[in-house]
Amino acid sequence: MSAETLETTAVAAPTRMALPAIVVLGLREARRILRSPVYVVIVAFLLATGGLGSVIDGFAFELPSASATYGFVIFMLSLYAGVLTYAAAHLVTSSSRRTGADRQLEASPTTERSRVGAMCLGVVFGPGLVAALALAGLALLGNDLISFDLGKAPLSGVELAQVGLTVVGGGVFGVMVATWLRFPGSLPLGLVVLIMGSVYVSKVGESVDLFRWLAPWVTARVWFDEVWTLAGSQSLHALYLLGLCALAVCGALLHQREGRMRWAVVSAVVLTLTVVAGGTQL
Amino acid sequence: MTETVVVTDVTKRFARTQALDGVSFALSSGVTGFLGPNGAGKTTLLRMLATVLAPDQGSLRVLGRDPSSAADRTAIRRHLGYLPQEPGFQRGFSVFDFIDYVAILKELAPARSRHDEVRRVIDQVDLTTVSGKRVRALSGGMRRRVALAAALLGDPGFLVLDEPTAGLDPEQRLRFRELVSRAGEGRTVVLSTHQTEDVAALCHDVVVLHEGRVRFQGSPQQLAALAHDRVWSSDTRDHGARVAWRGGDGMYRNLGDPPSGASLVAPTLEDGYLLLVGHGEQVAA
Repeated sequence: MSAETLETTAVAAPTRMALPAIVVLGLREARRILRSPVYVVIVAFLLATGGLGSVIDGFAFELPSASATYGFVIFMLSLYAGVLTYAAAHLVTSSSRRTGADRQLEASPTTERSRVGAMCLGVVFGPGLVAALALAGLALLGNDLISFDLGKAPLSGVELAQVGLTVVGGGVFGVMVATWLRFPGSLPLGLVVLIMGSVYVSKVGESVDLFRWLAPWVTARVWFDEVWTLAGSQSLHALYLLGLCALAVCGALLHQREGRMRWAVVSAVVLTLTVVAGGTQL
Repeated sequence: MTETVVVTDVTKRFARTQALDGVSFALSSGVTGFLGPNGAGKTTLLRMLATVLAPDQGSLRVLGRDPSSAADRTAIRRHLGYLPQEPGFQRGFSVFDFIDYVAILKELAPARSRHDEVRRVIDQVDLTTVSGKRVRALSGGMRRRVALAAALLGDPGFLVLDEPTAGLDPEQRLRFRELVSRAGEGRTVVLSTHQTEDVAALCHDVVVLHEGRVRFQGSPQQLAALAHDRVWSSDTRDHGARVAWRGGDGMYRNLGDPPSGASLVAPTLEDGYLLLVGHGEQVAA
């Protein structure tokens, strides 16, 4: 069949995407990630803690103060959202494989790399955006409204960005793990590696502060009332976390063999920048 | 007639199993049926035509392009509809959502025309009344139609259907035949099936695969003609027959080398197929 015949066939097909498929797909994946039952855990937690608090207070209902809301949202986002987003993104990424849907999806013109890229965009468009909105809301609360219990000033913009980056980082790490480790149990395995690795780095960091700063979580002084949290650059730490996010994305995109060399070069550049940002935090 | 698919000396091995062994054929537009017993290599071959599996050796040309090149593969996939043998569906998707998801992967847009297209194919497979239901809550036959609808998205010029009628009731099968015969007008449709009646009803061309090799390619009439003068009926089972079974009328239909004076009957496509790959013990009543 000649190329001319192929063109003739194309005429009959509906209009192709004006926006790249990856963006449209990213928006769809964002919705799937946000709908993940994993996030029900948060709702259950809120209901449980809210109910418990209500009982303790003798069913006296009061709107939480600005500083209590601030502390609660920061607490939830920095301690739970990253892990939950990791699990949600992993489950959504692996769902095609687990259910056998990839048998028909793999014959589509959208390549595996584009699908993985769309999933990473989904993390940004979904949980990332929700976290960003929540953090922006906190920033708008205003410093004067927040009298933090520990007597500390509210988080700066860069520190709030770090919180958002841990959410996105958890998600893209989940995409990477699900893309490479295609077997049941890869979800808890990735989680254990992530937590144990962070704990190890942090433990080593008791003698060398820099290592503590390499742990992929927020070093913001709001959680650690210690001198070492003030020792480094929060901006460079945010850049370091951004680099880790980008590395996870590159790691996921490297799974498809075709064009791997090009992505390996990009990954090497990202790795270098991340190492530089991580190494110069202090 | 212009050849839309050319397969040349293709081989494929999975561990110790030789799935395809020097397969060559060419297809033109219209409906081509692949027949063969289980393990003949049909699904492997169809996965290759759907560009999701590469051969170990040999070459393929699909729609004038080479699927081993990434750019050509993407170009082919833009004109391809593929129904796998065992389609799967992610949890939580409704019929509409799933097909819309596949439509996005097929690069159909913008949203409004994409949704129109999704509704069109849902209507084509007669699932409009359940389009809001979860796919996983549907019966096996309905789920198969969902996958078929996804394959029909974008009015593809090349349709690859792996056992499309499995699990469909007789009415659905007739509807499917109508659908495929319409799709076969000016397009290339390949389907694998165990249903020889579907092939006889739909296909202008038949390829019989057996043990990874092409044993026959021709028209359904030519396949049936292989059994010319080799089918006869009798009151009792003829032990000289390679294959024999009793029909609803109480008469035995025998295939093989007829004894002298046998009452010969007109062969069907199934007779030709059975004689070609026949394992009497599998079909004898």
